[in-house]
Amino acid sequence: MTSLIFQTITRLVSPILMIFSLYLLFRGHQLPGGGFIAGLMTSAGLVLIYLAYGCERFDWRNRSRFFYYLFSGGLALSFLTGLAGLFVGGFFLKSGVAHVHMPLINEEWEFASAAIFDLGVYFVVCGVCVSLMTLLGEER
Amino acid sequence: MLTTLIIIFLPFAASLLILFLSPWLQKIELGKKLGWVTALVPLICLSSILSFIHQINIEGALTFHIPWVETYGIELSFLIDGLSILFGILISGIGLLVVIYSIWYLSDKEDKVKFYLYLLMFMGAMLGVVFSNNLFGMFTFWELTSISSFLLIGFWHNKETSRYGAMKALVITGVGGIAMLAGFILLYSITGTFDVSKILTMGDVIRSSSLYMPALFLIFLGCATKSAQFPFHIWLPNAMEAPTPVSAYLHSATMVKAGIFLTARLSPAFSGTAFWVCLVGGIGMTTMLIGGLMAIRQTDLKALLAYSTISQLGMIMAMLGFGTQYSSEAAVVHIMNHAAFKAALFMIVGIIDHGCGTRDLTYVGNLKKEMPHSFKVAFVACLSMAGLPIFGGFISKEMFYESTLHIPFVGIPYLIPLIAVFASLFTFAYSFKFLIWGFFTDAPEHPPHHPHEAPVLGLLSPVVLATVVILLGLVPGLFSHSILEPAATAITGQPATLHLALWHGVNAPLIMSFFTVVLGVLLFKRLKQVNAVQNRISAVLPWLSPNFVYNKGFLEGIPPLTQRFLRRIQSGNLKHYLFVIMSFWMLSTLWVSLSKGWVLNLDTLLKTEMTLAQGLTCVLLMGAAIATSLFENRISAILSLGMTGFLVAFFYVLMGAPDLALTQFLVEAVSVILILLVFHFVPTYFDEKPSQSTKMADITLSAVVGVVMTFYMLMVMDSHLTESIAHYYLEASEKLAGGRNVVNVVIVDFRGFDTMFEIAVFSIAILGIYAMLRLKKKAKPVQEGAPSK
Amino acid sequence: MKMLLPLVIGVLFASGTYLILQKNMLKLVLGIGLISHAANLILISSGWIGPGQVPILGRDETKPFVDPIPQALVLTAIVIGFAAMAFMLVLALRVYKDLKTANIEEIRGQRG
Repeated sequence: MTSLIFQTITRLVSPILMIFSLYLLFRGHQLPGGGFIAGLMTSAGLVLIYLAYGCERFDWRNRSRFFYYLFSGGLALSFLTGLAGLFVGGFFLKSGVAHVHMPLINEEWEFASAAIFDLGVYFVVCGVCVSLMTLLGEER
Repeated sequence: MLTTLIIIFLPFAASLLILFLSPWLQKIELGKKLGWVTALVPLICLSSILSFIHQINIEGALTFHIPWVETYGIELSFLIDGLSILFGILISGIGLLVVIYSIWYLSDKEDKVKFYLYLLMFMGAMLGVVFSNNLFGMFTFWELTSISSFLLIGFWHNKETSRYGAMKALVITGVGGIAMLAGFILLYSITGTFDVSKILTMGDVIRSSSLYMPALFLIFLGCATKSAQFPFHIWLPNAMEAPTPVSAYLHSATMVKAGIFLTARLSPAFSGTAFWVCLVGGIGMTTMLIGGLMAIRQTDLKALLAYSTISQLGMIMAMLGFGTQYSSEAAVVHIMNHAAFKAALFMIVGIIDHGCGTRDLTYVGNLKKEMPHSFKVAFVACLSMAGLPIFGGFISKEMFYESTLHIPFVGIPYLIPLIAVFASLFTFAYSFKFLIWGFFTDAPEHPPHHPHEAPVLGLLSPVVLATVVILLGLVPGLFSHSILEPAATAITGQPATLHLALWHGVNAPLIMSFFTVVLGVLLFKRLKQVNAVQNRISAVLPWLSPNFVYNKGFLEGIPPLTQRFLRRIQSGNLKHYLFVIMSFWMLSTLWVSLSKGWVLNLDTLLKTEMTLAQGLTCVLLMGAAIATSLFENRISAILSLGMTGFLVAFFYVLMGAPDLALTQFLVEAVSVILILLVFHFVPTYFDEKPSQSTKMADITLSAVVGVVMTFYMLMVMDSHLTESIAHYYLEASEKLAGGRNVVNVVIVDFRGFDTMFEIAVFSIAILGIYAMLRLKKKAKPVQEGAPSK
Repeated sequence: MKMLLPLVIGVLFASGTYLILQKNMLKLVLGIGLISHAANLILISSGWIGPGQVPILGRDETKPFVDPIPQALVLTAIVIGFAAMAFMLVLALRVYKDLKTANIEEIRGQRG
């Protein structure tokens, strides 16, 4: 699949996909998006790179370990958010919202603890999907 | 409070300690040390229980509660009254003597760690049963006694007979336990509480309930199996495979009395009806008769004692069944008597077994000279068992006769007294068989080695018990006021006063006793002939014994049946499974929708408008789905599956679910790539060609599934069973979680726990995939002759 | 739409059932995929009230919202379904590589 056209398009599309997925992640609480969707989109972008350039160019074999850490770390992050809720709020996964006034742009920003949980979800989905692809791709 | 906890949990704690120390204990030279240390446990329990006596005599009953499963009214609560004190004294007192006896009995080769571990576990469970004030707590401890009994019967697990006996005991008492649990639940539905002390005050409510008979029957089934009542008595003789201290403890003095205990415990709530008298009294009398009948033909001393235990338990059960004040008092007195003389006799059998190498009366006889001390103990205990004067057994036998004369709800006069005398003849005969054949007359054969007496350590416990037997006869007042009266009070609910004495003047019971002795002597003289007739009968008619039912019906009947049944439902054929699952699914769906009376209301469905986009999506979706199922080329199949997925995503857009649509699009994209990657390794075409008939069957089943689901959906879409809870989420989303995208807020906040487990499952899936792809063994080549393409 | 949706679900179930009745393991996986689509559609249609509003607050408070709870359920179901499908596919692959067959009846009773 290493055709020049495909590689060129991938080079154009994948950064957009990455940035868009991060955008989807952070707006998830207010508009369609969130950890699952963003995670899937990021992994779609990475899979695209994988398909276009194959396994050698990005040294996936050595980087696959990173994705194992990513999904285990994501799981841990979500769990720790829950634990934090337990210690701060009184029960497991208790969430909280904080409104912070940002000094430079002079706006009220809203921070929800659930967003951190969602970040964990994002890491898990992303890590699992990419690990899956690299595992299968290396299968001979 | 603390004392109660010590009584019940000290044995458990001690057994756990032994368990955790066992690797260390098994290494060192134990000798007799472990036994002595273990003996401390029943000693402490006994003294704690004795310390309650005074308080109980003043205050009546004490209860303690520890919450457990509060929502269902299940708690760890304890009731201390006369009855539980009586049984507590038996359990810990005889426990103490048995542990001391076992120090002598167990040779150094035996696994003492295991023995004391199980024994203490049993002791704790048994104390738990008698002190429980909650039906569920009691049931838990009850089952624990069954399990520890199983372990102790199978102590010499390399013997086939031990395993058979252990299994039999577990099966029978286990079935009874389940029946009892069902009975407890019925009792709960009558009274609305699991609290025993409350249930006992609700006797009138229970007796007038329509569930009275089933509840009593089920609970009594549990009692009858545990207390070896006819026809469930068959497990007890086989349980004699256990080491003799265990038989003395579990299978004569304590565990088999658990059923007696429960019957006594619940009698204020249940007794006083014709059904009670017929069931409990009837079964008790039958058991007494049959146990005695079986006991006189045994030559194995332990088997003789086992059947005599069955008979005696039947007698106690009968006395409880009569349900009068006097008969309950008699039962209490006999519980005490029986525990003392029977435990002593078991220990004597253990000594004989040790001394002669066998305990069969064909080899053992004339032991009076070789075992003088054992003989004295056996003499006292046997005469007490036979019900002869100056021993405790005489008093309770007299009380038994007296109580048979005044039984409510029995129409035929003299029937029960006659049966009682008749059954007592056997008691007399087997008691004398034990005593005379064992200690006076010579045996037909010689024992394996020359008999010798046990040392002081082995004799200590039987002698103590024999002393108790004598004291019970000569100075019954020693026990009656402090222990027996409160127990009788707890059974009947009325204050009991016992006037125990050997001599009551010439009255009906005395005459009955006289006849018993005279006829008993006659029976004993003819015992050999009677035994010959009995052996003939059992040889010709083997199916008379309930053992026949257990062996042929249960052991040989049920396993092949279940095997055949399992073979049928577990055929190993996936298609077969799927067919069953699908058919069941369809039938249950149809049944539910028809029984709910849902009707197909096509009018409203037809009226709703439909846009062109929606219609087109629907049509395309159906086309893609059918195409997926029919393509034989794998690439086409995958692509049409992907197509289906994308159309479903589009559907979500139309149905106002943008999050879903996004997810579905992305998942579909990734999974098409995934499937293509996997299919890269397998052939291009699906290679199997199903026969025309299978194809038709498949199509028919799938068509049925499709049609049923369509109709089901048509019905469901128009009905609203319950109000949606969506408005709560819609209102709370912004207020509580600070998010406006309700779907996302539900996922990460309101139902965050679900999501956390979901990502955990997600991670587990990849771990499984990793294992399958990376951690492969070197695959063996496919065997010759294995089907290949 | 309300008329056609049950039909769509019925067809999805029928095709899926047909596929899982086949002997080929990979067809089985495809069939399960179809059936899970159908199940998701059932769930989502239970919260569907005709032309409603996307459950995102703060826009137009007059029109009724579509029920968000089935949507949240289905979202997780889709992702879990993906994980399950990946697992089944790799299982099928592994079996195929070791036993050189994808026919479930030939797999039975063999050890790799």
